[in-house]
Amino acid sequence: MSENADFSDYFKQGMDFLSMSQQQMNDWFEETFVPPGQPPTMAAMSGLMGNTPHLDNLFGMDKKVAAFLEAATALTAANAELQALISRNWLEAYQRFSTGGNGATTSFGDSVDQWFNYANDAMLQLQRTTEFLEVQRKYINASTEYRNRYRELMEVFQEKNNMPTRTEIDDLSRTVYELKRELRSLKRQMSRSAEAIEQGDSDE
Amino acid sequence: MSELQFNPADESIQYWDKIQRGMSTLSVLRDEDVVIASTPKEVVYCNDKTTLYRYQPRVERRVSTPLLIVYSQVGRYTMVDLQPDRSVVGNLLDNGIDVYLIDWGTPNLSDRWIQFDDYVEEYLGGYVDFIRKTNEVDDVSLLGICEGGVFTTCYAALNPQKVRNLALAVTPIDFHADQEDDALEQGYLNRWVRNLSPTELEDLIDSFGQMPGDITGMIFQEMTPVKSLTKYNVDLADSISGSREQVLNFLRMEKWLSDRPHHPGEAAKTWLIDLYKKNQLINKQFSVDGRIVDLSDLTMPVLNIFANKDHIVPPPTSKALGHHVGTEDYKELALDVGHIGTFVSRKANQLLTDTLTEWLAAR
Repeated sequence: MSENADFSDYFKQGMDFLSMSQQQMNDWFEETFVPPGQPPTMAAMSGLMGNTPHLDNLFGMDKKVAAFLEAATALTAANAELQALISRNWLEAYQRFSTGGNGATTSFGDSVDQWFNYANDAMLQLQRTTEFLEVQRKYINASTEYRNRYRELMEVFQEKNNMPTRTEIDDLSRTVYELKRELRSLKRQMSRSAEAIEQGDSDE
Repeated sequence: MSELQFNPADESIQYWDKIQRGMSTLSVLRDEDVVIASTPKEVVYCNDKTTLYRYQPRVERRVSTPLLIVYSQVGRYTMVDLQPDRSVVGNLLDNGIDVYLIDWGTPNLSDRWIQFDDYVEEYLGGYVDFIRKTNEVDDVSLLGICEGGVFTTCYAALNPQKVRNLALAVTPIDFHADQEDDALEQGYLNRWVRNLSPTELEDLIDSFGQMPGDITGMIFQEMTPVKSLTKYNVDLADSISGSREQVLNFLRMEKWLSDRPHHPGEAAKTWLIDLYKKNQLINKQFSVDGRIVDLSDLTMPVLNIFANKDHIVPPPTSKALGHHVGTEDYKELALDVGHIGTFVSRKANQLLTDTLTEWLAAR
Protein backbone atom coordinates (compact mmCIF):
# COMPACT_ATOMS: atom_id res chain seq x y z
CA MET A 1 0.00 0.00 0.00
CA SER A 2 1.31 3.41 -0.89
CA GLU A 3 1.22 6.33 1.52
CA ASN A 4 -1.42 7.93 -0.69
CA ALA A 5 -3.68 4.89 -0.47
CA ASP A 6 -3.28 4.89 3.33
CA PHE A 7 -4.12 8.52 3.41
CA SER A 8 -7.21 8.00 1.22
CA ASP A 9 -8.44 5.35 3.66
CA TYR A 10 -7.95 7.66 6.62
CA PHE A 11 -9.57 10.48 4.74
CA LYS A 12 -12.61 8.35 3.85
CA GLN A 13 -12.97 7.26 7.47
CA GLY A 14 -12.76 10.88 8.56
CA MET A 15 -15.42 11.96 6.06
CA ASP A 16 -17.70 9.05 7.03
CA PHE A 17 -17.40 10.00 10.69
CA LEU A 18 -18.07 13.63 9.86
CA SER A 19 -21.20 12.76 7.84
CA MET A 20 -22.48 10.49 10.62
CA SER A 21 -21.92 13.20 13.26
CA GLN A 22 -23.62 15.78 11.07
CA GLN A 23 -26.66 13.50 10.63
CA GLN A 24 -26.83 12.89 14.38
CA MET A 25 -26.67 16.61 15.06
CA ASN A 26 -29.38 17.29 12.48
CA ASP A 27 -31.59 14.61 14.06
CA TRP A 28 -30.99 15.94 17.53
CA PHE A 29 -32.05 19.41 16.58
CA GLU A 30 -35.00 18.31 14.49
CA GLU A 31 -38.09 19.12 16.55
CA THR A 32 -40.18 16.22 15.30
CA PHE A 33 -37.48 13.57 15.64
CA VAL A 34 -37.83 11.07 18.47
CA PRO A 35 -35.16 8.35 18.52
CA PRO A 36 -36.76 4.86 18.69
CA GLY A 37 -37.32 3.77 22.31
CA GLN A 38 -35.85 6.99 23.69
CA PRO A 39 -37.23 10.18 25.25
CA PRO A 40 -37.89 13.19 22.99
CA THR A 41 -34.91 15.32 21.94
CA MET A 42 -34.02 18.69 23.48
CA ALA A 43 -35.53 20.51 20.49
CA ALA A 44 -38.75 18.54 20.78
CA MET A 45 -38.93 19.37 24.51
CA SER A 46 -38.45 23.09 24.00
CA GLY A 47 -40.95 23.00 21.12
CA LEU A 48 -43.44 21.30 23.40
CA MET A 49 -42.91 23.90 26.14
CA GLY A 50 -43.21 26.76 23.69
CA ASN A 51 -46.50 25.46 22.28
CA THR A 52 -48.32 24.91 25.59
CA PRO A 53 -50.98 27.42 26.63
CA HIS A 54 -49.76 30.41 28.63
CA LEU A 55 -50.16 29.75 32.38
CA ASP A 56 -50.61 32.84 34.53
CA ASN A 57 -49.21 31.28 37.72
CA LEU A 58 -45.76 31.02 36.10
CA PHE A 59 -45.64 34.78 35.28
CA GLY A 60 -44.48 34.08 31.72
CA MET A 61 -41.36 32.37 33.01
CA ASP A 62 -42.26 29.13 31.21
CA LYS A 63 -42.33 30.92 27.86
CA LYS A 64 -38.99 32.59 28.54
CA VAL A 65 -37.37 29.31 29.51
CA ALA A 66 -38.78 27.68 26.37
CA ALA A 67 -37.57 30.54 24.18
CA PHE A 68 -34.12 30.33 25.77
CA LEU A 69 -33.93 26.56 25.24
CA GLU A 70 -34.99 26.95 21.65
CA ALA A 71 -32.39 29.66 21.04
CA ALA A 72 -29.67 27.60 22.74
CA THR A 73 -30.58 24.61 20.57
CA ALA A 74 -30.56 26.68 17.40
CA LEU A 75 -27.18 28.19 18.30
CA THR A 76 -25.62 24.78 18.95
CA ALA A 77 -26.99 23.52 15.63
CA ALA A 78 -25.72 26.58 13.74
CA ASN A 79 -22.32 26.23 15.36
CA ALA A 80 -22.18 22.52 14.46
CA GLU A 81 -23.05 23.33 10.86
CA LEU A 82 -20.33 25.99 10.67
CA GLN A 83 -17.71 23.75 12.28
CA ALA A 84 -18.65 20.88 9.97
CA LEU A 85 -18.21 23.08 6.92
CA ILE A 86 -14.82 24.31 8.13
CA SER A 87 -13.69 20.77 9.04
CA ARG A 88 -14.73 19.42 5.64
CA ASN A 89 -12.83 22.19 3.90
CA TRP A 90 -9.78 21.53 6.09
CA LEU A 91 -9.82 17.79 5.34
CA GLU A 92 -10.31 18.30 1.62
CA ALA A 93 -7.46 20.83 1.57
CA TYR A 94 -5.21 18.34 3.33
CA GLN A 95 -6.12 15.64 0.84
CA ARG A 96 -5.22 17.93 -2.07
CA PHE A 97 -2.03 19.09 -0.34
CA SER A 98 -0.79 15.61 0.52
CA THR A 99 -1.42 14.19 -2.93
CA GLY A 100 -0.61 17.24 -5.00
CA GLY A 101 3.20 17.40 -4.80
CA ASN A 102 3.96 20.72 -3.21
CA GLY A 103 7.61 21.12 -4.03
CA ALA A 104 10.68 19.95 -2.19
CA THR A 105 11.24 20.99 1.37
CA THR A 106 14.38 20.56 3.39
CA SER A 107 12.94 20.27 6.85
CA PHE A 108 9.85 19.20 8.76
CA GLY A 109 9.38 22.82 9.81
CA ASP A 110 9.35 23.99 6.16
CA SER A 111 6.87 21.28 5.30
CA VAL A 112 4.56 22.32 8.12
CA ASP A 113 4.86 25.97 7.06
CA GLN A 114 3.95 24.98 3.50
CA TRP A 115 0.87 23.16 4.76
CA PHE A 116 -0.19 26.08 6.96
CA ASN A 117 0.09 28.49 4.04
CA TYR A 118 -1.87 26.11 1.84
CA ALA A 119 -4.53 25.62 4.53
CA ASN A 120 -4.75 29.37 5.11
CA ASP A 121 -5.42 30.00 1.42
CA ALA A 122 -8.01 27.20 1.40
CA MET A 123 -9.79 28.78 4.38
CA LEU A 124 -9.70 32.23 2.76
CA GLN A 125 -11.20 30.75 -0.40
CA LEU A 126 -13.91 29.05 1.67
CA GLN A 127 -14.75 32.35 3.39
CA ARG A 128 -15.63 33.79 -0.03
CA THR A 129 -18.12 31.06 -0.94
CA THR A 130 -21.89 31.55 -0.84
CA GLU A 131 -22.21 28.37 1.23
CA PHE A 132 -19.88 29.69 3.94
CA LEU A 133 -21.48 33.13 4.00
CA GLU A 134 -24.94 31.60 4.42
CA VAL A 135 -23.84 29.28 7.25
CA GLN A 136 -21.95 32.10 8.94
CA ARG A 137 -25.01 34.38 8.69
CA LYS A 138 -27.16 31.70 10.33
CA TYR A 139 -24.60 31.35 13.14
CA ILE A 140 -24.41 35.12 13.77
CA ASN A 141 -28.20 35.44 13.87
CA ALA A 142 -28.52 32.42 16.15
CA SER A 143 -25.99 33.96 18.54
CA THR A 144 -27.93 37.24 18.54
CA GLU A 145 -31.17 35.40 19.34
CA TYR A 146 -29.46 33.40 22.09
CA ARG A 147 -28.09 36.55 23.78
CA ASN A 148 -31.51 38.21 23.66
CA ARG A 149 -33.35 35.22 25.13
CA TYR A 150 -30.67 34.74 27.80
CA ARG A 151 -30.97 38.39 28.75
CA GLU A 152 -34.75 38.08 29.09
CA LEU A 153 -34.31 35.17 31.44
CA MET A 154 -31.63 36.94 33.48
CA GLU A 155 -33.81 40.01 33.82
CA VAL A 156 -36.52 37.94 35.49
CA PHE A 157 -33.97 36.85 38.09
CA GLN A 158 -32.59 40.39 38.46
CA GLU A 159 -36.04 41.92 38.94
CA LYS A 160 -36.98 39.33 41.56
CA ASN A 161 -33.78 40.13 43.46
CA ASN A 162 -33.94 43.93 43.26
CA MET A 163 -30.99 44.12 40.91
CA PRO A 164 -30.80 46.64 38.03
CA THR A 165 -31.46 45.12 34.62
CA ARG A 166 -29.79 45.93 31.27
CA THR A 167 -33.09 47.37 30.06
CA GLU A 168 -33.26 49.76 33.03
CA ILE A 169 -29.62 50.81 32.60
CA ASP A 170 -30.22 51.40 28.88
CA ASP A 171 -33.23 53.57 29.73
CA LEU A 172 -31.25 55.61 32.25
CA SER A 173 -28.16 56.05 30.07
CA ARG A 174 -30.36 57.11 27.15
CA THR A 175 -32.08 59.74 29.30
CA VAL A 176 -28.72 61.09 30.49
CA TYR A 177 -27.34 61.11 26.93
CA GLU A 178 -30.35 62.97 25.53
CA LEU A 179 -30.29 65.53 28.34
CA LYS A 180 -26.59 66.12 27.77
CA ARG A 181 -27.14 66.59 24.05
CA GLU A 182 -29.96 69.04 24.71
CA LEU A 183 -27.82 70.95 27.21
CA ARG A 184 -24.96 71.24 24.72
CA SER A 185 -27.31 72.46 22.05
CA LEU A 186 -28.69 75.13 24.40
CA LYS A 187 -25.16 76.22 25.36
CA ARG A 188 -24.24 76.60 21.69
CA GLN A 189 -27.39 78.65 21.05
CA MET A 190 -26.63 80.88 24.05
CA SER A 191 -23.05 81.32 22.92
CA ARG A 192 -24.18 82.28 19.42
CA SER A 193 -26.72 84.73 20.87
CA ALA A 194 -24.06 86.28 23.10
CA GLU A 195 -21.70 86.65 20.11
CA ALA A 196 -24.48 88.25 18.06
CA ILE A 197 -25.21 90.74 20.85
CA GLU A 198 -21.49 91.56 21.20
CA GLN A 199 -21.25 92.00 17.46
CA GLY A 200 -24.28 94.32 17.56
CA ASP A 201 -22.72 96.39 20.38
CA SER A 202 -19.44 96.78 18.54
CA ASP A 203 -21.25 97.78 15.32
CA GLU A 204 -23.02 100.56 17.21
CA MET B 1 7.30 12.56 1.28
CA SER B 2 9.93 9.83 1.33
CA GLU B 3 12.30 11.93 -0.84
CA LEU B 4 12.62 14.52 1.88
CA GLN B 5 15.68 14.56 4.08
CA PHE B 6 13.99 15.34 7.38
CA ASN B 7 15.77 15.05 10.65
CA PRO B 8 12.88 15.28 13.12
CA ALA B 9 15.12 14.76 16.16
CA ASP B 10 17.32 17.77 15.30
CA GLU B 11 14.32 19.94 14.50
CA SER B 12 12.61 18.94 17.71
CA ILE B 13 15.71 19.82 19.73
CA GLN B 14 15.92 23.20 17.97
CA TYR B 15 12.25 23.89 18.65
CA TRP B 16 12.50 23.08 22.37
CA ASP B 17 15.72 25.05 22.59
CA LYS B 18 13.83 28.09 21.29
CA ILE B 19 11.01 27.51 23.75
CA GLN B 20 13.50 27.20 26.61
CA ARG B 21 15.29 30.41 25.61
CA GLY B 22 11.93 32.14 25.33
CA MET B 23 10.82 30.94 28.75
CA SER B 24 14.10 32.19 30.24
CA THR B 25 13.50 35.64 28.76
CA LEU B 26 9.84 35.70 29.78
CA SER B 27 10.64 34.61 33.33
CA VAL B 28 12.65 37.77 34.02
CA LEU B 29 10.29 40.17 32.24
CA ARG B 30 7.50 41.89 34.16
CA ASP B 31 4.43 43.63 32.84
CA GLU B 32 5.95 47.01 33.75
CA ASP B 33 8.86 46.24 31.38
CA VAL B 34 6.40 46.19 28.48
CA VAL B 35 5.95 49.92 28.05
CA ILE B 36 3.95 51.43 25.19
CA ALA B 37 2.96 55.03 24.38
CA SER B 38 5.85 56.42 26.41
CA THR B 39 6.44 59.69 24.51
CA PRO B 40 5.87 62.52 27.05
CA LYS B 41 2.55 64.32 26.66
CA GLU B 42 0.13 66.37 28.71
CA VAL B 43 -3.64 66.43 28.99
CA VAL B 44 -4.83 69.76 27.64
CA TYR B 45 -8.59 69.24 27.42
CA CYS B 46 -11.25 66.60 28.18
CA ASN B 47 -14.80 66.01 27.05
CA ASP B 48 -16.77 63.09 28.53
CA LYS B 49 -14.40 60.10 28.39
CA THR B 50 -12.32 61.56 25.56
CA THR B 51 -9.02 63.37 26.10
CA LEU B 52 -6.93 65.76 24.04
CA TYR B 53 -3.17 65.32 24.51
CA ARG B 54 -0.39 67.62 23.41
CA TYR B 55 3.03 66.01 23.02
CA GLN B 56 6.03 67.78 24.46
CA PRO B 57 8.02 69.39 21.63
CA ARG B 58 11.57 68.07 21.17
CA VAL B 59 12.99 70.51 18.68
CA GLU B 60 12.22 73.98 17.36
CA ARG B 61 8.93 74.05 15.50
CA ARG B 62 9.38 73.64 11.75
CA VAL B 63 5.72 73.71 10.72
CA SER B 64 3.60 76.48 12.25
CA THR B 65 0.17 74.80 11.91
CA PRO B 66 -0.53 72.28 14.68
CA LEU B 67 -1.29 68.69 13.67
CA LEU B 68 -4.14 66.78 15.32
CA ILE B 69 -3.98 62.98 15.10
CA VAL B 70 -7.37 61.26 15.16
CA TYR B 71 -7.23 57.53 15.73
CA SER B 72 -10.05 55.00 15.31
CA GLN B 73 -12.45 53.96 18.06
CA VAL B 74 -11.92 50.35 16.95
CA GLY B 75 -8.36 50.18 18.35
CA ARG B 76 -6.27 52.20 20.75
CA TYR B 77 -4.22 55.29 19.81
CA THR B 78 -1.14 53.75 21.44
CA MET B 79 -0.40 52.13 18.06
CA VAL B 80 1.09 55.42 16.80
CA ASP B 81 3.55 55.43 19.69
CA LEU B 82 4.17 51.75 20.29
CA GLN B 83 7.87 52.03 21.05
CA PRO B 84 10.37 54.89 20.96
CA ASP B 85 12.31 53.74 17.89
CA ARG B 86 9.16 53.09 15.84
CA SER B 87 6.91 55.92 16.93
CA VAL B 88 4.91 57.93 14.41
CA VAL B 89 4.43 60.59 17.08
CA GLY B 90 8.13 60.56 18.01
CA ASN B 91 9.21 60.95 14.38
CA LEU B 92 6.85 63.89 13.88
CA LEU B 93 8.15 65.59 17.03
CA ASP B 94 11.73 65.06 15.82
CA ASN B 95 10.69 66.71 12.55
CA GLY B 96 9.47 69.84 14.36
CA ILE B 97 5.71 69.29 14.20
CA ASP B 98 3.42 70.43 17.03
CA VAL B 99 1.44 67.23 17.69
CA TYR B 100 -1.95 66.87 19.36
CA LEU B 101 -3.85 63.57 19.65
CA ILE B 102 -7.34 62.49 20.66
CA ASP B 103 -7.74 59.51 22.99
CA TRP B 104 -11.32 58.23 22.72
CA GLY B 105 -11.03 56.61 26.16
CA THR B 106 -12.70 53.42 27.28
CA PRO B 107 -16.41 53.45 26.45
CA ASN B 108 -18.71 50.99 28.17
CA LEU B 109 -22.39 50.13 28.02
CA SER B 110 -23.37 53.50 29.54
CA ASP B 111 -21.96 55.13 26.38
CA ARG B 112 -24.03 53.07 23.98
CA TRP B 113 -26.10 56.06 22.77
CA ILE B 114 -23.12 58.15 21.64
CA GLN B 115 -23.55 58.79 17.93
CA PHE B 116 -21.14 59.02 15.03
CA ASP B 117 -22.16 62.71 14.82
CA ASP B 118 -20.84 63.25 18.37
CA TYR B 119 -17.43 61.93 17.36
CA VAL B 120 -17.30 64.32 14.40
CA GLU B 121 -18.80 67.56 15.66
CA GLU B 122 -18.84 67.40 19.47
CA TYR B 123 -15.51 65.73 20.22
CA LEU B 124 -13.32 66.27 17.13
CA GLY B 125 -14.95 69.64 16.34
CA GLY B 126 -14.63 70.78 19.95
CA TYR B 127 -10.94 69.86 20.06
CA VAL B 128 -10.21 71.57 16.75
CA ASP B 129 -11.80 74.77 18.12
CA PHE B 130 -9.78 74.44 21.33
CA ILE B 131 -6.49 74.09 19.40
CA ARG B 132 -7.38 77.01 17.12
CA LYS B 133 -8.16 79.19 20.12
CA THR B 134 -5.14 78.31 22.26
CA ASN B 135 -2.72 78.57 19.32
CA GLU B 136 -4.46 81.65 17.91
CA VAL B 137 -4.65 80.11 14.45
CA ASP B 138 -7.54 79.92 11.96
CA ASP B 139 -7.07 76.30 11.05
CA VAL B 140 -5.29 73.07 11.96
CA SER B 141 -3.95 70.09 10.02
CA LEU B 142 -5.55 66.70 10.59
CA LEU B 143 -4.14 63.18 10.37
CA GLY B 144 -7.02 60.69 10.47
CA ILE B 145 -6.34 56.99 10.85
CA CYS B 146 -8.77 54.23 9.77
CA GLU B 147 -12.17 55.05 11.30
CA GLY B 148 -10.56 58.24 12.62
CA GLY B 149 -9.89 59.05 8.97
CA VAL B 150 -13.61 58.91 8.29
CA PHE B 151 -14.28 61.20 11.29
CA THR B 152 -11.74 63.70 9.93
CA THR B 153 -12.99 63.41 6.34
CA CYS B 154 -16.53 64.22 7.46
CA TYR B 155 -15.35 67.07 9.67
CA ALA B 156 -13.13 68.55 6.97
CA ALA B 157 -15.88 68.36 4.34
CA LEU B 158 -18.34 70.09 6.68
CA ASN B 159 -15.85 72.63 8.08
CA PRO B 160 -13.27 73.24 5.33
CA GLN B 161 -12.40 76.70 6.68
CA LYS B 162 -11.02 75.15 9.86
CA VAL B 163 -8.83 72.49 8.20
CA ARG B 164 -5.59 73.60 6.58
CA ASN B 165 -4.44 70.13 5.42
CA LEU B 166 -6.10 66.73 5.54
CA ALA B 167 -3.91 63.62 5.76
CA LEU B 168 -5.52 60.20 5.91
CA ALA B 169 -3.93 56.85 6.67
CA VAL B 170 -5.51 53.44 5.88
CA THR B 171 -8.95 55.05 5.69
CA PRO B 172 -11.89 53.41 3.89
CA ILE B 173 -13.95 55.84 1.81
CA ASP B 174 -15.68 53.66 -0.80
CA PHE B 175 -16.65 50.68 1.37
CA HIS B 176 -17.68 48.55 -1.60
CA ALA B 177 -14.52 49.10 -3.67
CA ASP B 178 -13.05 45.89 -2.23
CA GLN B 179 -15.13 44.08 -4.88
CA GLU B 180 -12.63 45.31 -7.51
CA ASP B 181 -9.84 43.76 -5.45
CA ASP B 182 -8.81 40.19 -6.20
CA ALA B 183 -6.30 39.83 -3.33
CA LEU B 184 -7.40 36.68 -1.49
CA GLU B 185 -6.62 37.99 1.99
CA GLN B 186 -8.43 41.32 1.60
CA GLY B 187 -12.04 42.40 2.07
CA TYR B 188 -13.19 39.90 4.73
CA LEU B 189 -14.77 42.58 6.93
CA ASN B 190 -16.50 44.23 3.97
CA ARG B 191 -18.04 40.90 2.91
CA TRP B 192 -18.89 39.99 6.52
CA VAL B 193 -20.97 43.16 6.85
CA ARG B 194 -22.55 43.02 3.39
CA ASN B 195 -23.67 39.45 4.10
CA LEU B 196 -26.00 40.67 6.87
CA SER B 197 -29.11 42.78 6.38
CA PRO B 198 -29.35 46.19 8.12
CA THR B 199 -31.86 44.68 10.56
CA GLU B 200 -29.55 41.77 11.37
CA LEU B 201 -26.65 44.14 11.97
CA GLU B 202 -28.82 46.36 14.16
CA ASP B 203 -30.06 43.37 16.17
CA LEU B 204 -26.50 42.08 16.58
CA ILE B 205 -25.25 45.40 17.98
CA ASP B 206 -28.36 45.88 20.14
CA SER B 207 -27.90 42.43 21.66
CA PHE B 208 -24.52 43.57 23.02
CA GLY B 209 -25.53 47.22 23.45
CA GLN B 210 -22.19 48.03 21.83
CA MET B 211 -19.62 46.46 19.53
CA PRO B 212 -17.45 44.66 22.10
CA GLY B 213 -13.69 44.91 21.59
CA ASP B 214 -13.21 41.16 21.88
CA ILE B 215 -15.77 40.50 19.13
CA THR B 216 -14.02 42.98 16.85
CA GLY B 217 -10.72 41.28 17.69
CA MET B 218 -12.21 37.90 16.83
CA ILE B 219 -13.31 39.15 13.40
CA PHE B 220 -9.77 40.42 12.78
CA GLN B 221 -8.39 37.00 13.74
CA GLU B 222 -10.69 35.36 11.18
CA MET B 223 -8.98 37.38 8.46
CA THR B 224 -5.82 35.30 8.91
CA PRO B 225 -7.44 32.02 10.00
CA VAL B 226 -4.48 29.65 10.19
CA LYS B 227 -1.99 32.22 11.43
CA SER B 228 -4.41 32.97 14.27
CA LEU B 229 -4.57 29.25 15.09
CA THR B 230 -0.78 28.80 15.19
CA LYS B 231 0.23 32.10 16.78
CA TYR B 232 0.36 30.88 20.38
CA ASN B 233 1.68 27.36 19.73
CA VAL B 234 3.72 26.54 16.61
CA ASP B 235 4.80 30.13 15.93
CA LEU B 236 5.31 31.04 19.57
CA ALA B 237 8.83 29.58 19.67
CA ASP B 238 10.01 32.10 17.07
CA SER B 239 8.13 34.97 18.73
CA ILE B 240 9.75 34.56 22.14
CA SER B 241 13.20 33.13 21.39
CA GLY B 242 14.95 36.23 20.08
CA SER B 243 16.86 38.85 22.03
CA ARG B 244 15.23 40.59 24.99
CA GLU B 245 14.46 43.58 22.76
CA GLN B 246 12.84 41.35 20.10
CA VAL B 247 10.69 39.66 22.73
CA LEU B 248 9.69 43.06 24.07
CA ASN B 249 8.63 44.09 20.54
CA PHE B 250 6.38 41.04 20.42
CA LEU B 251 4.96 41.75 23.87
CA ARG B 252 4.33 45.42 23.12
CA MET B 253 2.18 44.37 20.18
CA GLU B 254 0.38 41.85 22.39
CA LYS B 255 -0.29 44.57 24.94
CA TRP B 256 -1.80 46.75 22.25
CA LEU B 257 -3.89 43.90 20.81
CA SER B 258 -5.30 42.96 24.19
CA ASP B 259 -6.42 46.53 24.86
CA ARG B 260 -9.19 46.77 22.29
CA PRO B 261 -11.92 49.20 23.42
CA HIS B 262 -15.64 48.64 22.98
CA HIS B 263 -17.34 50.71 20.29
CA PRO B 264 -20.46 52.61 21.44
CA GLY B 265 -23.52 50.90 19.94
CA GLU B 266 -25.25 53.72 18.07
CA ALA B 267 -22.00 54.92 16.51
CA ALA B 268 -21.17 51.30 15.59
CA LYS B 269 -24.51 51.03 13.76
CA THR B 270 -23.61 54.06 11.66
CA TRP B 271 -20.13 52.65 11.01
CA LEU B 272 -21.37 49.22 9.94
CA ILE B 273 -24.80 49.89 8.45
CA ASP B 274 -24.65 53.38 6.90
CA LEU B 275 -21.02 53.17 5.84
CA TYR B 276 -19.91 49.54 5.40
CA LYS B 277 -23.29 48.20 4.31
CA LYS B 278 -24.99 51.10 2.52
CA ASN B 279 -21.81 52.88 1.39
CA GLN B 280 -23.46 56.26 1.98
CA LEU B 281 -20.30 58.37 2.15
CA ILE B 282 -19.34 57.87 -1.48
CA ASN B 283 -22.95 58.29 -2.62
CA LYS B 284 -23.49 61.70 -0.97
CA GLN B 285 -26.12 60.21 1.34
CA PHE B 286 -24.18 60.30 4.59
CA SER B 287 -25.10 63.06 7.01
CA VAL B 288 -23.66 64.39 10.26
CA ASP B 289 -25.97 66.42 12.49
CA GLY B 290 -28.40 66.69 9.58
CA ARG B 291 -25.81 67.98 7.08
CA ILE B 292 -24.88 65.85 4.04
CA VAL B 293 -21.15 65.13 3.74
CA ASP B 294 -20.06 66.01 0.21
CA LEU B 295 -16.50 64.86 -0.53
CA SER B 296 -16.15 67.53 -3.21
CA ASP B 297 -16.13 70.02 -0.34
CA LEU B 298 -12.66 68.72 0.54
CA THR B 299 -10.99 71.73 -1.00
CA MET B 300 -7.88 71.71 1.21
CA PRO B 301 -4.70 69.76 0.28
CA VAL B 302 -5.22 66.02 0.81
CA LEU B 303 -2.56 63.36 1.42
CA ASN B 304 -3.98 59.83 1.19
CA ILE B 305 -1.77 57.08 2.66
CA PHE B 306 -2.71 53.45 2.19
CA ALA B 307 -1.08 50.04 2.61
CA ASN B 308 -0.86 47.63 -0.33
CA LYS B 309 -1.03 44.58 1.94
CA ASP B 310 -3.81 45.90 4.17
CA HIS B 311 -6.18 43.00 4.94
CA ILE B 312 -8.47 45.18 7.10
CA VAL B 313 -8.92 48.19 4.80
CA PRO B 314 -8.43 47.02 1.18
CA PRO B 315 -6.39 49.63 -0.77
CA PRO B 316 -9.12 50.28 -3.41
CA THR B 317 -11.49 51.41 -0.63
CA SER B 318 -8.97 54.12 0.32
CA LYS B 319 -7.79 55.06 -3.15
CA ALA B 320 -11.36 55.82 -4.21
CA LEU B 321 -11.09 59.17 -2.41
CA GLY B 322 -8.99 60.57 -5.26
CA HIS B 323 -12.00 60.52 -7.61
CA HIS B 324 -14.19 62.56 -5.30
CA VAL B 325 -12.17 65.32 -3.63
CA GLY B 326 -12.69 68.93 -4.64
CA THR B 327 -9.00 69.85 -4.61
CA GLU B 328 -6.31 69.68 -7.27
CA ASP B 329 -3.72 69.27 -4.51
CA TYR B 330 -4.28 65.55 -3.94
CA LYS B 331 -1.37 63.19 -3.29
CA GLU B 332 -1.14 59.47 -2.52
CA LEU B 333 1.48 57.44 -0.67
CA ALA B 334 1.34 53.65 -1.07
CA LEU B 335 3.24 51.65 1.55
CA ASP B 336 4.20 48.05 0.92
CA VAL B 337 3.03 46.81 4.33
CA GLY B 338 -0.17 45.79 6.12
CA HIS B 339 -2.66 47.85 8.14
CA ILE B 340 -0.69 47.86 11.38
CA GLY B 341 2.70 47.69 9.66
CA THR B 342 1.97 51.22 8.42
CA PHE B 343 2.66 52.46 11.96
CA VAL B 344 5.03 49.88 13.44
CA SER B 345 7.26 48.82 10.57
CA ARG B 346 10.48 50.80 11.05
CA LYS B 347 10.85 51.54 7.35
CA ALA B 348 7.16 52.26 6.67
CA ASN B 349 6.55 54.57 9.61
CA GLN B 350 9.70 56.55 8.83
CA LEU B 351 8.58 56.94 5.21
CA LEU B 352 5.09 57.92 6.37
CA THR B 353 6.29 60.58 8.80
CA ASP B 354 9.00 61.97 6.49
CA THR B 355 6.52 62.25 3.62
CA LEU B 356 3.91 63.80 5.89
CA THR B 357 6.39 66.31 7.30
CA GLU B 358 7.59 67.43 3.86
CA TRP B 359 4.01 67.65 2.66
CA LEU B 360 2.91 69.74 5.65
CA ALA B 361 5.98 71.98 5.52
CA ALA B 362 5.24 72.86 1.89
CA ARG B 363 1.65 73.85 2.72
